[in-house]
Amino acid sequence: MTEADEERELRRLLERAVPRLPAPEQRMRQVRRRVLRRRRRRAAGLSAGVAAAAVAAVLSWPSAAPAPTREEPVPAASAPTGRPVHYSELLGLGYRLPPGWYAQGPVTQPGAPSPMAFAATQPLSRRPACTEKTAADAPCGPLDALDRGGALVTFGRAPGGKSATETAFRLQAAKSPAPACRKIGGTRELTAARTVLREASPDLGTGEDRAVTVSVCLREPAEASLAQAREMLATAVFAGASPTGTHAPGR
Amino acid sequence: MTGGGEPDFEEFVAARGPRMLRVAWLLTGDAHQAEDLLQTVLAKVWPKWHRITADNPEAYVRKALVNTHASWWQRRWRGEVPHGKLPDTVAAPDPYDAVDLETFLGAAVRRLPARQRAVVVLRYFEDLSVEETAATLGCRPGTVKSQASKALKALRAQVPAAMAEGGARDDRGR
Repeated sequence: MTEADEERELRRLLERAVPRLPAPEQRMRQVRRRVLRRRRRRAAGLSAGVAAAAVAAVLSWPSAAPAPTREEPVPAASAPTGRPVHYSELLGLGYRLPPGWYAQGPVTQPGAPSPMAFAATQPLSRRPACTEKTAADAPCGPLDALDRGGALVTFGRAPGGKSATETAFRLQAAKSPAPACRKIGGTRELTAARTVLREASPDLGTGEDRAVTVSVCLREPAEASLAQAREMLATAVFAGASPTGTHAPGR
Repeated sequence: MTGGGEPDFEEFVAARGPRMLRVAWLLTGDAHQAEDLLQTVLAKVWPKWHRITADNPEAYVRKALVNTHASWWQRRWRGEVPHGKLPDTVAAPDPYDAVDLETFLGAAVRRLPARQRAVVVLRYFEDLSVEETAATLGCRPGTVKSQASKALKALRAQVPAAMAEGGARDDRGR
């Protein structure tokens, strides 16, 4: 018997010998749980360092903020806890971009009243996906279509509340996705807003726009992306703000 | 996956899960550990699925199975201990009986060193080419060939009857 015969025979025997095991009915649910457990574990590890990191980041950011990040892919290996991103145009918002995510902004898109910044699980286009004319229903975003399982996080500015009692973005599920989310194939949307009060730097956040809004547009199934978005928002800080807080979404 | 569209993760699991579970069984030798290994890999893969699907998702998952199992092996998490001898229950098997063949050949494969076992799984169960196996394991084709040759020699020593006559008996049975 030659080695080639033996190889052929081994293939036949293995095919016969390896059992056809039944798949547990709850396999996908179990996998989802494992993904969430991994995220929580990572977030717990991250949160221990986030407080110190956030303080250090705020202190290290100059008052004249650096240029915002634009369409830069973040390699997973280079920043296991996420790279800091900072936007002075959004009341000094800073956060840590999850590894593998992309950030862009702030840019004033057609149909949008004020600058918006974006973070997503897929590359973002510098060119607006629509024009003023086609932006009548919804502001343009940097995506033509959201990948299945993906997330697009949009930051913007809004009038905001008069007081600030909370210190985190609290995402609430929208009854239905807004047109801007639906337009790119989003099937689920969560929103939050956070009022930023400034005592020391009234020039930041002047006028009525004292809140930063956030929308998380998802194309289901996107539990893993949503978990990453939550982790990302949990790292949000506002440079020079005192104190900060949230209020209910505006819609 | 064919068709040009982005393969959905759940569709992939439904379609390829059974085969991947068999690969996991051959690596671990235990149904529960195989399911555990598969779920561990799927949980790792899911968050980056949209990026993986641009290439070859099945190859990616297969590689993750082999690598994750290798890390378990190295850390001995599974408490798996190679036996010096095959268990008594398979000392005098009838390798032509499907159940005994499963026990016998499965035990023989599991006795192989981890690298040789991975080569056997990829080359002879998954039917990958030498080059594909090398790419999956991150080694040279020459290493795959030598590991496969050693594995065949070891299996030949343990399951001579099955290797030599199983096919003939199998053919007669059809």
